[in-house]
Amino acid sequence: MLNPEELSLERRLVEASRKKPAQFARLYERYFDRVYAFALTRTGDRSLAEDVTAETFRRAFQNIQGFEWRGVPFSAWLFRIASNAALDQLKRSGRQAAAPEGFDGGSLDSHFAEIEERARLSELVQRLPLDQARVLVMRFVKGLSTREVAEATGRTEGAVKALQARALSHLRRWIRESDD
Amino acid sequence: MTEREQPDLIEEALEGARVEPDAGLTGDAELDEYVRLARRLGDLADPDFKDSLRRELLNEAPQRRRWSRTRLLTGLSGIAAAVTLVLLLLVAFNSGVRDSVAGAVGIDDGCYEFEEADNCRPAEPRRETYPGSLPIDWDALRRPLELPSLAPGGACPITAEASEWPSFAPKGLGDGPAYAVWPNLLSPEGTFILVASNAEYEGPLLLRGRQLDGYNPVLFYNFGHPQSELNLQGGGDQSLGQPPGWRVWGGGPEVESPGCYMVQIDGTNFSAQIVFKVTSCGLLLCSLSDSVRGGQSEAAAPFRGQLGDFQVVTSADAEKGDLPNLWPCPSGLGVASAADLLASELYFPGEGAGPDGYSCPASGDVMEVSGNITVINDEPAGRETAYITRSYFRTGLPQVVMDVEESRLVLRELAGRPALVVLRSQELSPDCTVFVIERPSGAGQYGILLSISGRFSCTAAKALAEEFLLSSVQ
Repeated sequence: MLNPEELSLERRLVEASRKKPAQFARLYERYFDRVYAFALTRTGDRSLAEDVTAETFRRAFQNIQGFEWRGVPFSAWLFRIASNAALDQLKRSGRQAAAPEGFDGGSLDSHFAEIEERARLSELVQRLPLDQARVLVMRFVKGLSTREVAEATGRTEGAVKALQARALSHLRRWIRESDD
Repeated sequence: MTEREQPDLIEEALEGARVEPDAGLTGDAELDEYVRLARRLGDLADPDFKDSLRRELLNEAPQRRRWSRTRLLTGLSGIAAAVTLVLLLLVAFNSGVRDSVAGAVGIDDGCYEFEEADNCRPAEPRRETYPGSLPIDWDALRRPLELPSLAPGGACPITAEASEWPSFAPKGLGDGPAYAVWPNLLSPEGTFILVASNAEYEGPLLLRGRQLDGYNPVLFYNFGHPQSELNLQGGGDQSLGQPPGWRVWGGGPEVESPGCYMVQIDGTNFSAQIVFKVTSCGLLLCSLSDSVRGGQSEAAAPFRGQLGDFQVVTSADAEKGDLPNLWPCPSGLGVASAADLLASELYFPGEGAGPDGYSCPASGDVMEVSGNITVINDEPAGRETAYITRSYFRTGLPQVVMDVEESRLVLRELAGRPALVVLRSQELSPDCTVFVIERPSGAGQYGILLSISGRFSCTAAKALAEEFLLSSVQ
């Protein structure tokens, strides 16, 4: 749930985007990780989640002129688009949803908690020194081996392992600090 | 675990969890925490995908630059000042340098921001094989569009002609294995390019595209039905005298307004981008030119005057109340619900939605009934809102209020009626608007002007207008 200040900021961002499409970049940066996390939760598949995320932002970008501010957060509108896009993608691919569509009843909190957790982890990765973040992305997001990362970055495997260990250690500490 | 041992132990734990995901954790609390953390990292979005989607949406140039760290450090103070300025701007724009830099993490072309220039080398393209007996995985071919950067007002980076080109067609654009063939040999009056692939590639092709200097989609017509992507497979048309192994297909892209366009052709082991420029357009027919010309000027004064069966007036004219031909509002009517009009000819007949209302400004010169309906089509957005208005004029020509230059106004005929199409513009409006004289004035009855607008292509607007006209025939 957004507080009044966040709602006000969101409203300003939406208004700015309506006046100048390039300003949509700020909404994009603000919600990208959450929409992707939502899409992955719904579809359970990285490729489908990317399709859903892309479709969500395309529709939002193209329709933001028609978005009317009636006290309902922009994010709610965005997630509704994402939900429809996920349904479309799942139908197209003939797959079952990984999580139920309705964020109703008891599932609501757990879904959004998971989405927020993934968004927060993404933000933490972006706080890491660039070389550490790079190694984590290559290792765990792209699924490369330590050797492949070493070859791609021109480092030794030992250096990659050291960067990986430092990055994980940082993340672990930051997560603990924010949990306390 | 000592600091020295830590990297190897973590790697060992991660590798163990990767090889045997269900085997459980190590039992060491700290290592297990790292393994769980790594698994969560695997659920994060690929920064390359984030970056490419952002570029696609906002028509941005790639954020990534091949800067050499050494050069950066030893650069002149002016460069340092410029970098500082850029960083300050980034802070102001995007709430911090980190946010901006973080978007550049990842593998795209094998290089990273601040990477040593000598270490940069293009990444290998994704390679998959599709045995002929298996169904084609079109989703795998649907890679992010790689949009060339195009500065506002900049020249369209038209794809060069193929250097070695067989004689079956005048020219091919691209460097293979898939090409755009121009002009179209099968349907010179309609689809304006074909797609061909040479003997080196036998797999399926997936085509998508978009305008680089505007909002217009590139559509592919499949038996007259517009689609935002085209899937090609099989042998294509073999009747054009092409060399053995070459395949040629129709159904190439169509666009509706001048501009710079790109079509991406994805095969199983390559992605080719074909950029072309369209210099003149009708509603359904555009001509392709390989000459680089300047973009459409939006600086010209808006057109004012008679154009075909329409009288174009500017908003300044409208504000002055200079709209003598419009039907006067009935006395006593102001902005109100349109429920009173349900039984009258003024009723807005949009399917699935009633009128939003009608308005009669204080001047009493204008009366219109408006409403909107949601349109579902095959264009990229898939679902758009169409704004439909019927206005009434008493004599002479219907007046349309448009602040656009003449080159964006196109006269057409829809369902046997005069129509005026206002082509879309990146700077002024992403909407296409179609005006149709639904009924001319005369013989004691007022005329009806129908307008349909929305953020969709002019082809979609035209189809909707025709449907609307046919459904509302008296």
